[in-house]
Formats: sequence, C-alpha cells, structure tokens
Amino acid sequence: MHECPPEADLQKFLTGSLPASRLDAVAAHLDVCDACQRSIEALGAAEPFLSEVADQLGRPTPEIDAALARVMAEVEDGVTTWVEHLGSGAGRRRGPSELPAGLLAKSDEPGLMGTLGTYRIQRVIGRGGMGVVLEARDPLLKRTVAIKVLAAHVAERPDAARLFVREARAAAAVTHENVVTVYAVDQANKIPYMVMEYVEGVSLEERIQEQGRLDLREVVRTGIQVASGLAAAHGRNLIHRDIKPGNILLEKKTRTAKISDFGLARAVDRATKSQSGLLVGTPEYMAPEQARGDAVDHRSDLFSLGSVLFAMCAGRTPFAAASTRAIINSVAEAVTDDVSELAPDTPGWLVELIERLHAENPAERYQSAGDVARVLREELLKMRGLTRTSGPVRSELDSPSRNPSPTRSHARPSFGRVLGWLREHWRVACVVALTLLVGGLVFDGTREQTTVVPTVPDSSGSPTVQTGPPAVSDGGGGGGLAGRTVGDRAGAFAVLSQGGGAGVRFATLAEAIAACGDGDAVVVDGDGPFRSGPINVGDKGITIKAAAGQRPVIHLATGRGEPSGSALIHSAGALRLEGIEFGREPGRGAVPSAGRLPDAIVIVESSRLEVINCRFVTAGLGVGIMAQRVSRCEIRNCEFLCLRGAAVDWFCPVGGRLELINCVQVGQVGLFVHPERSQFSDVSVVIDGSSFVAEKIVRLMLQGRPFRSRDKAGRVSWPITVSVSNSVLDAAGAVLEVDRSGDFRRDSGGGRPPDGIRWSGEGNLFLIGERMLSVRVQGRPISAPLAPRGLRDWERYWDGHERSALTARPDAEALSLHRRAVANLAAIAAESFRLPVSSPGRGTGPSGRDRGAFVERVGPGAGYEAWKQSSVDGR
Amino acid sequence: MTDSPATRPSLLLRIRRPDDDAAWSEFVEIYAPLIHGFCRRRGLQEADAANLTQEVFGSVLRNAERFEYDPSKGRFRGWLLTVTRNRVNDHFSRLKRDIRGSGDTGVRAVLEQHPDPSEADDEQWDEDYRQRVFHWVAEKIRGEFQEATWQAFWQTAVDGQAAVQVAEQLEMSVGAVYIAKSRVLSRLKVRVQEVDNDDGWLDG
Repeated sequence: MHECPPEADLQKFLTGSLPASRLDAVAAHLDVCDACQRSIEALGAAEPFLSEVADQLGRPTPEIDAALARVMAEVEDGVTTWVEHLGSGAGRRRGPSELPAGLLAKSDEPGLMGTLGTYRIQRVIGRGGMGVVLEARDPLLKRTVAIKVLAAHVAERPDAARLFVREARAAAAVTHENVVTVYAVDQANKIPYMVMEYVEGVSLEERIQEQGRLDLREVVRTGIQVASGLAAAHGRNLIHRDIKPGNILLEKKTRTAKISDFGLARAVDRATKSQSGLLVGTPEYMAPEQARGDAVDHRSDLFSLGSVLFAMCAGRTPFAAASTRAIINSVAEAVTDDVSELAPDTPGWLVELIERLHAENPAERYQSAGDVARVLREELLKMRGLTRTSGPVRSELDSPSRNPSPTRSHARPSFGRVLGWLREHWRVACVVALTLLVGGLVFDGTREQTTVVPTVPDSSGSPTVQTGPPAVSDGGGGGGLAGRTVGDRAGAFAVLSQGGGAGVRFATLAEAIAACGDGDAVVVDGDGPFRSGPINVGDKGITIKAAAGQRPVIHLATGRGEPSGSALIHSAGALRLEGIEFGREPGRGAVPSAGRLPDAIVIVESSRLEVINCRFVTAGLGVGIMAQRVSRCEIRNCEFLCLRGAAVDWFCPVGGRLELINCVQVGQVGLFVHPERSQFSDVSVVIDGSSFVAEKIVRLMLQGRPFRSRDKAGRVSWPITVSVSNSVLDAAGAVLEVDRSGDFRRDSGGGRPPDGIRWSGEGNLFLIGERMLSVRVQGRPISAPLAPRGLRDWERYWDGHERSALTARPDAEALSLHRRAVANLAAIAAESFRLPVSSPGRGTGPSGRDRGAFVERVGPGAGYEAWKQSSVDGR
Repeated sequence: MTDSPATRPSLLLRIRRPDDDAAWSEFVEIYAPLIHGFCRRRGLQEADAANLTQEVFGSVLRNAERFEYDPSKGRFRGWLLTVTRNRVNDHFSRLKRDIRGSGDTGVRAVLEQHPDPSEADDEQWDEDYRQRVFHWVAEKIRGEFQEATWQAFWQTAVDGQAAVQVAEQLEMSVGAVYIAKSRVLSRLKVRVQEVDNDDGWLDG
C-alpha cells in the first residue's frame, strides 16, 4: 500500500484494534513512511493508557525483600496457622530456639550450664516455639525442676513477656495431678521464666513415635488422666487450645500423664469472646471451629482429646494429609480416617467415643471432660472385670437425640398367645383328607380339601382329628420321632421317581426321603398335620411337594433330650419345596439353640434352593429358611410367620442370587444376608411384590471394606445389589440394617451410603417406623446422625435409585398387617394374609394394582393351586 | 484468563473457593507488597512488617466468608488499607505501652514519629496499588510474547526510545516494532482492567 492510511486506522493500529487483515499492510507502510511514523508517535503520546504504562512500569517498584518473599510463599501455601505473635518470625515453622544471651550466670561447678537465680541449670530439656525448657536443681528444696524461659528471638519482643506471664498464670491456676504444676514465675535481666514441676519421662508424641500404637488399657488409662486434667482446667474456665500428644508428658515412674504447655491457653472471658483473629494451635489436633477461626470453647479441647485418643490407638494423627492447608481443610470439614481401619482391634465403644468427640458440631460431642473420664473409667473397670453391668455405660454413649424406644405401640405377641392361636388353628383347620390308595396313585387336579374323616383305625389309637386336639399334640409317646401320620396305614408320602410310574408310599416323611434317589420327588398326599423329627436329606437333590388339592402341614417335633437346634429338613443337596406348611411344634420353639446354627425350619447347604408356595411358622427364635452357601435361591409365593427371627437367612457365596417374589413375612427380620467370604462379591438380592411387616426388612452384615469395581469391559460391579420393587415395607425398626463388624467408617451408614451396597427400589410402599437405616458395629447399634430419616432423605441417600415410592404412617385406621397378626392371629385367614381394604397399598401401585404380595397366590393350598394354574408365574 | 471483565466473579469471591489457587496467588502477589510497603513506610522493622502482613491476610481469609456487596464501602483495597492501618496502629500502641521507660532512643524516635492516619495514606496506597498491578500484570503476560516482541514494546513504550532505533537494535522492521508495541499494550490494558474489576466488592 502506498498511500498513507487514514488517521483513524493508525489510531486503531496503535491500540491493537485494527482488523488483522489490514495489520500487515499498515505495518509495511509504516516501515517506509516517516510521516506516518510521526503521526503514530503523536497519537501515542496522546493516548492516556500508554502514558500510564510508561509511568507505572517506568518507575522502579520496591523490591520484595526476603522476609516478604517468605511471608508471601507461606501465605500462598495456605499456611494460615501461626503462633500468636511468637515463633521464629514468619510462621509456624519454628526455628531453633536459643536461650537469651546473658541469661544464665556462669558457674564454677562442673556439669552446670549456669545458674539462674538460685537454680542450677543442668541441661536443655527441649525447645518449643515460645521458649526453651531447662532442667535445673533447686538447692533449697532439693528437688529437680523444669524451668521454661523465653527464647532469644522471642524475648526481644515486648508483648512476649506479657504472654509468657499469662501462660504461667494460667497453668498455676490449675492444681491437679494430671497438669504440670507451676511453682513460681520470676525474671532475670528482664527475661521472665517459670519454674515448673519436672516430669521425668517422654511426651506422648515421642512415645507413639518410638513404640507405635498403645495397647488398649494404656489408651484408656491415659485418656482418663488427660480428661481429668482437662476437667480441672475447664473447671477454672481455662481452655488449653493446644491439646496434642506433644503437650502430654508421661511421667515414667508413676505412669501419670500430665498436660503441659498452657502457652496458648486463654481464659474464657466475655470480653475476649471474639477471637482477635489468629489461628493458634497445632492443626492436626485442632477442632474444626478452631481451624476455621470461629469461637472456641472447652469442647474444642474435647475434640483434640478425641484426636489424641485416636493417635494412641492408631499410631498416627487422625488427619493425615500432605500439606498444612490440606490438613486445615480436613479439620475444618472434620473428615478423619477410620480408627478401626488402622487399629482393627479397637473396641466398638472406644471407636464410638472417639467418633463422638470428633463430632463437627460441638453440641454433639461430650459436653464435659468429666463425662469422658467417667465413661473411660467405667470401661476400664469392666476390662478388669469389676463392674456389674454394662447397661449404664451404653446409655451414656447414646446421642441425646436418639429415641429411647420405638414409637410403635404394638407389642410382640407373647408366646402364650401364639400357642393359643395354633391350637385354635387346628380346631378350625380344614380337616385332612387321607387318601388310602393301595397300589396305583392318581393325582388329579380335582381333588379338593375335604372334611371327610377317615375311618381307618390308626395305629396310634388316638382319636381322629376332627373331634379334639390332634393326637399330634399329645405326642405319641415320649419318643415319637418317627413321624407318624394320623390314621394312615398306607402312607401319605409317596416317592415319585424321575422315570415316572406309580411311586412307593411311606408312612413317614423321613422314610420317604430316605428312599429317594437323586432327582426324585416326595409328594405329600394329605393335609396332616404331620409330625416329624429332624431329617437329614444328605446330598441328593430332591423335591418335596404337596399333592394336588392338598395342604400339608408338617411340624418339627423334638423329643426330650434332642438338641433343639435341629432343622426339620437339613439338606446338602439341591432342594425344591412346594405347597407345604412347615412349622415347629409349639412348646419347643422358645428354647434357644445350643448349637452353632440358630434354629431354622429348613436348612439347605447346597447350590440351589427353590421354595414355592410354602408357609413357615415359628414363634421361636429361629428363622424360616437358612440358606447356607446357596448360589441360586428362589423363594416365591411363600408366607413366613417367623415372629422372632428372620424369614430367610442367607449365608451367601460369591456371585449368589436370591429372589424373594410375592412373599409375605410377619416377624422380626425379612431377609438377613451375610457373606461367606469376608466380604460380598457380586451378590444380588431381588425382592419383588412382597409384603413385610417386621422390625427390619433387610439386614446386611458387612465385613471388611467392600467397594464396587469395574471389570475389563468397564461395567461396574457392586459387592451386593439389593433391588426391591412393588413391595410393602412396614418396618418398625429400620428398613435396612447394616451390621459392620470389624470395619467401621466414621460415617458408615451415616454420611453416605456404604460403598458396597447398591440399593434400588421401585414402586414400594413404606410404612415407616423409627428410621430408615440403622447401623450396628459389632452387633451394637450406633447413632448415625446423618442416616436418612423419612422417605425423601432415603431417596436422596440412594442417589435417586429409590423411585416412585409411597409412604404412609401406620395408623389406627388402616391397620397394618402386623398389628392384625399380633392383635388377633386367629383372624388371619388360614390361606393367606390379606391387605386390609383401606391399606394405602391397595390400588395404588403401577397399573392400579396393589403393592405388596399378590395374596391370592401366596402359600400352600388354594394359593398353590392358583399359582399352578396361572399361565404366568407370580402375577 | 478467559472470563470477560464483565462476567468474571470478583477476586474476593474466587478466593473463597478452595480449589482456585490462581485466585489466591493473585491476591497474595498483588496485595502483599502493598501491605508490606505500607508497614515499612510507617517504620516497622522487617520482621514486624512481615508478621503484620501475614496477620492481615489471616484476617482477610477469615472474613472472606462474610463479605457483602456494599458499594458505599468503596473498593476492597480501601478496606484492606483500613485493616492494615489499624493493625499498624495497634502495633505501635503496644510498643509504646511496653517500652515505656526503656532507654532505647531509637525506638522512642520511631514511636514519636508515628504519624496519624491521613488522607495522604489513601492516595499513596492507591498509587502503590496501581503500580503494583501494572508490574504484576507485566510479569504475568510477559511469557505470552516472544522476547523480541516484548523488548520492542518495552523499549518503545516504557523506555521511550524511537521505533526506528529499536527496530535497528532488534533487527526487526519498524512496522513490526509498532505491531509488537500495540499487541502488548492491548493485552496489558485488558489484564489491568480485569484486575481492577477484581478489586470491586462481591456481586450480588
């Protein structure tokens, strides 16, 4: 371009706002055009910003000197803690403290560093941020003392003396065996020093560093002592503010812990309530409110005490992080590591105590050091076997907000009432029809329950069922173990072989099973009730099912002297049960099992279990079905009345699958799952269309540290997934109870869901009792203040995986299933449980159908028939 | 910085975020010398000035949560000046109390020259701030340009040399020198503007 560009363009060029396309052209022109050069210079001179740039950048700026640079570096690193006024100049990092020169008078005595007043200084014990501690001899009282002197670089500061004297005063105000005693304060050459009790021994910090974790008794004993010392200080309105292992001295001879270094202590005083602003204390042991610079009170010392206990148990600080800033962040958010991860043998009560002291909200901690000391003392006495009861201690550990008792008003049925119901049941029960067939057996679908009374004389000589209490309850003699049927000669138990054919009949279930081969079926042709002793099937895979139209009832009868821990059916092979009611003979159920396994009606220890349309009734402590290491477990259309136990107890292997479809449980626990290996792995629980009225719906035992993982294809696999849909969950205690034994996260069950559990729910109805989630540690319930309460909380807790849930409060209007069962068991239909018409679950489920079990197809008898006739399983 | 000045949240807002290290660094780097300079000018010893600087930052950090938008309060740096000045005054008050009777004439001299707060403080403070900002921005953006470009800018814009001579020294064309100057200038202007905006109180 040869012509000069217009001035406007030059202006734009100058300020960099000329479009790029023209930039080069103008520049090329400027190369050669003096006139334009002068123009642009003139424009530049008039441009204000340009002259400011020249002005500002032209002037030299003050150098950033070394001290400032250091400050900037530290502040940028986020080191926002520093000892008030003191320390080596710029921050927490303390340089070596030196004695002020000329402090000590020279002495001729060999071995002495010098004298200070009348004291003979022997050596330097230690150096802290504020002062130097010397070991000295008091010739008058003939004792060794410790003398703390302001460090040299600190002594030159005028306010240091003031603070030092204040520390001495604070410490002197407390007289307690667990606080280092201050004897005197004096000054030499205008440098103050304090004379204190000499404690021979190391600090707790050194102890931990050298020897690692302390054993439990030592932890507790030391904890008691520190708490007592703190209580004394707090009693004088003194907050220590820097409780940490470094400030706890352990006297060797007496094994006494003594709190020292009240240097940062500050009296609680209305006038000084608002912090003048600096963070004091050691971040690793600081309370969150301290780290944040908020108001601090004696409960902050308790937080630090918790950290000290942690350090004793775990061998390191609760907040381990790379940088000070990170530590401060952690402290401010009160996120600690798990003490029982680092020290698995720490007892639950101690873990809980530390956890409580570490509550982020001071109001949730113990409110006084005295309380902590008391709790620790009780536990120590127990460890020595000297207390009578553990009751009171437990209640002290409860958080104040915990409900003292469940809010539900229903009571567990007394045993007597259940017994009465069972008797009554028999009276009104449909009478058993006994088939007497010789030879061939015809099973047609048309046989219905009849009230025909067999006229065959029965071998036991007892009257027929109709007229009175069944012979069964009287027991056919003391040892009637070989399960007799009533009035049956030919036998109600037929064995059908796979090859088909007529099958052979037996009088007792035990005999029939004994005659089975692998893959055979025992058909129970009769309503019973049959008595049977415990049967061990062995490892063959069999089926036991009801004949068409029959509704057999089989009771476990245990004679005297029999261990009551036996199961009615114990199989090590695959087992399939259909259409049968199993129960325990009344009168026996209440005896707790002496054996290893808890009582169960059916125990299966194999890979496969199928239970269809059965009913399990036990008033005792036992469970209905115990599935040991069963990989595939299908339980469908079953009813469980296990009043004091779980319906199903599943000791599950890796990769196990359990389905509970269209079932009803009224009792203690719906499903109890515990892993075979130390933790769950790829376990799946599916609950659909079922109704639970229980203390707890699902109970999981979590051990170790389950976590989800990703396989090579990128699929996430969870240790255990629990999927509950279209069910009615009426939980008096909690919907989900997680029992963590041997592993305790600080926020397990509280702050966030345990990593190992994937819970998903769809279309469930919650009749909520006390809470949704309960957590136990080693069997002991712990308070989980952040556990979900109420349905919305619950939904959030599982990240939205609980969907379309309804909630209703059990109330007098719509009586819950359990209330009806408890109040009047006899009123429950013999066939199955039914949801009351006014129940919230009626007609509100997807497609307007009921939530909960489809009761028309539940249980033996008609339910079984209905299921068999239905074209689709279940609904 | 990719935010436009209008939308970028102010520095005070950003330093509250624990992950915004850049904001915190910027904050410290710009203001620390300011505070320190003020202390030194008032006669504080090196160590004291450094300490006090740290204390002021501590105060900011703690109060960052509570800042509210109040245009009548003026700019943030004005508040910072007040805090700094108060602390310096406290420092001297304490010194006076504690060194009462000390024979140290040097100290007494410092104490006696302790000036009262005046408007001169404010002006000086603002000037120092502005200068600090320019220098800080210049340091920051320098890396965005080639050395020759930067020199071309500096020698013409700051040192005031003629473009023709600079072009000769740097073996660039005159036009290129001008381009360099204009590019750096505009970048400088944008960044200074941003930092200046940061100085405002929180929005909303």
